[in-house]
Amino acid sequence: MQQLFKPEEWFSNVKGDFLAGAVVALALIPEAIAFSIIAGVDPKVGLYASFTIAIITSFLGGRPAMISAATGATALLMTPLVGDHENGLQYLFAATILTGVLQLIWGFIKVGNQIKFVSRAVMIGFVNALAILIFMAQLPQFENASWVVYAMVAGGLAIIYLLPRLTKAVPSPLVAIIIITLISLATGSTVPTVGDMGELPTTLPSFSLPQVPFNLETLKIIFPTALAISMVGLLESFLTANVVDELTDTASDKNREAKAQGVANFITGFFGGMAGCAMIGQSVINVQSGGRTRLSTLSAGVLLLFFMLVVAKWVEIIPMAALVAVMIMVSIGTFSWGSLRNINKIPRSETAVMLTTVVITVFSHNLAMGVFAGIALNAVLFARKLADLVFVDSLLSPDGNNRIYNVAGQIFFVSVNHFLKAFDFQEDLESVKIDLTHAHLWDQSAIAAIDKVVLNFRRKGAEVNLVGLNEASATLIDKLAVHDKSDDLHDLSSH
Amino acid sequence: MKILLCTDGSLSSQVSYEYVAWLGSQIEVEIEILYVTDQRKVQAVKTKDFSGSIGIDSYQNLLDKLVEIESESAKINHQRAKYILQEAKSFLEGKGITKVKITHTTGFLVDQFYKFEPNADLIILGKRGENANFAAAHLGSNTERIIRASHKPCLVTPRAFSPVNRILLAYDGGKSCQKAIEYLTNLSAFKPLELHIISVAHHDGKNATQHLEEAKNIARNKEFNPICNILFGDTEPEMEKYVAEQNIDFLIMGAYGHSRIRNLVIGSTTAQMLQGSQIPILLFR
Repeated sequence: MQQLFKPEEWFSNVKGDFLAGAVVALALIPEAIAFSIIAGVDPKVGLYASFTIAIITSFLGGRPAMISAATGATALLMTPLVGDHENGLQYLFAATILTGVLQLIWGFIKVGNQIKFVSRAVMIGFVNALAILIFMAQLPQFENASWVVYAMVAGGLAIIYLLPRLTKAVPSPLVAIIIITLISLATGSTVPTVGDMGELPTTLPSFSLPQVPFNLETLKIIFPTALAISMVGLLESFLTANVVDELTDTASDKNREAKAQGVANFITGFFGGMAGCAMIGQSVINVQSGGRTRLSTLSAGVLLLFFMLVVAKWVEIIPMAALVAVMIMVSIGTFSWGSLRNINKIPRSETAVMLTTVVITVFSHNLAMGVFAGIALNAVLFARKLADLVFVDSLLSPDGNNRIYNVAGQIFFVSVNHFLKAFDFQEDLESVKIDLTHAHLWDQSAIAAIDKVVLNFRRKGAEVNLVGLNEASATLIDKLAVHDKSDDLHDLSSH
Repeated sequence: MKILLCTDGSLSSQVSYEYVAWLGSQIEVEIEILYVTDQRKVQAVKTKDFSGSIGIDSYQNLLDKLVEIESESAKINHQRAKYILQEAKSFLEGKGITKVKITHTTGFLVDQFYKFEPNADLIILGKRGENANFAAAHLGSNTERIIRASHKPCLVTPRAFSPVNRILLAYDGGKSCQKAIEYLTNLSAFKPLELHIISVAHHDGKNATQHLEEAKNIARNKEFNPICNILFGDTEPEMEKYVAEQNIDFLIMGAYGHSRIRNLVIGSTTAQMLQGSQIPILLFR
């Protein structure tokens, strides 16, 4: 039943969803502001984006109860685009729209089904790299800062971390922000505030076209950024969807989510927002606060807009130090500490994949690059492991004239050397039987290896028999092998 | 006949067992008892954590916590399901029905229903479920959805059992009514009972007479001797009046009337009869 509107996805948990939405909205405000600052744009860009993305994904998304908004992962990719161009903000809007279009395409070609290529090790590398980058993005706030800033950050962290041990009835990051702001006001300190970082929203977001020339030049500027954002956005969204799937023990529709993210970013670009995606931390907060259905996402979006318009003039006086404390907590919460604790238990190759993802990301400041490096290394290491699983044992007949080789495993480009080493061509035999019942030949390299084995034995005067080929392997031999086509034998010299 | 009996262990379900037992005493039946643990109840674990703060390894910690809470309640639910199904089975076996299969799944009854429906010739379910102890005149939400979704005849049982002696077929000539009369006349369980057929006339009664004649002939051909009547006035109150006056204790009707718009949901007459009625209603689509 492919029904777009299912009542149980909306109204099965109204009270819990609404409360969770409120908690999430309050937690989203500082994050959206902080991510805007990471991207190098006015706080209102992130806030507008969080509003539109949350609302649109609540209706279209494939994972009820997942929170999508302006995120660190996407913001980090935007920094160069915004910083390197005079008209950076407008290019960002254009890139956001293009991101949406690309994600829609990913959705239609069902990229959600390909998420299986991203292993758990790469995923852990992804979140760890994300956590490190968010943390690093806070460091500029400490440059030439007075001791007051350090004290405020430390105080804020203490409140966020310790308050939930006393009471779980109020959002602790919000309490931290309020207390730090009050202290800052009371002492009349001159630490930098959110107001110093740029404009805050005073009205509802309104429709406008990005002020960029519509030509190939613009496309060249925005395309690489949009492509990276579209992929990183979907990756984090799928990862978050898996997290929420596990937490709520329900299933999600990844391809529908990809399309929803696409539509959300496409529209957000026209309403003065930056591209975003699903947020792991916020989604966990949502579930933790009792949110289970689409209503939680919708109420988070609507309440965010309400709060940001109501409290806009108060937001200005929040010291940046308070936001930095929230962001440090976000980065601590995002990091997978378990991956460090268990580093001895996890296979070394997987740790290598995880670390590669982290290191490449941190140096390139590009999560997409890190993930691709991780996937590539993972594939190579996996191929190597698979190649180790080629077993050849042999049996000599009592008269010493015939030998049977039993081959088991996957024969492909990585494993051919291992495979060839198992044969003894020096032995004096009348006939050789090679039993491939438990083997599979995958590619040209495998066929070439078989050729080599057969021809080598023939040169030594032994009759060679291949038996037990499965259908796919036999077809490949028919097409590519030379040992069974005597005319082609001279080709082997050119191999 | 294969019967799918949907139960949730409520009082209303107990009544359905009795009707199943009655059917089983008349004809040979094969019964699948279905209990669906409602996922919503498991899912919406009430966490009272509004701290909005994500600590170290928050996702893993939260997952562990949820698994712990939910495994407890799930265990209880499984026990409950086993108990309910076992009780239903032994009740039916006590009444001499041997072919009883019990099935337990988790999810939403409405979503799971389609998997079991094709194997059944008749669906039996209580009028109101365990979640519906308030607003007693209303139809249980699950019941209504099942009736809407089902392609098979549905027997909706009332809040109390009474022996079946007189059955009433409300006939309006519609497709679902034609199915109903065919089904009923082919069922030997109904042979010994007193059959009433009524048709409700709104204006001149010409249509109604024609329909009634048609139904009468079908029934007579199958060796029934129906008592036929035409009622004048509004459908629901007239039918209810007739049921009360004639001591009818089993009602058969089409789930859909003639009015097109109402076809989107179940027929308005059907809905009203289901709500108001004290007797079992067998519905046809």
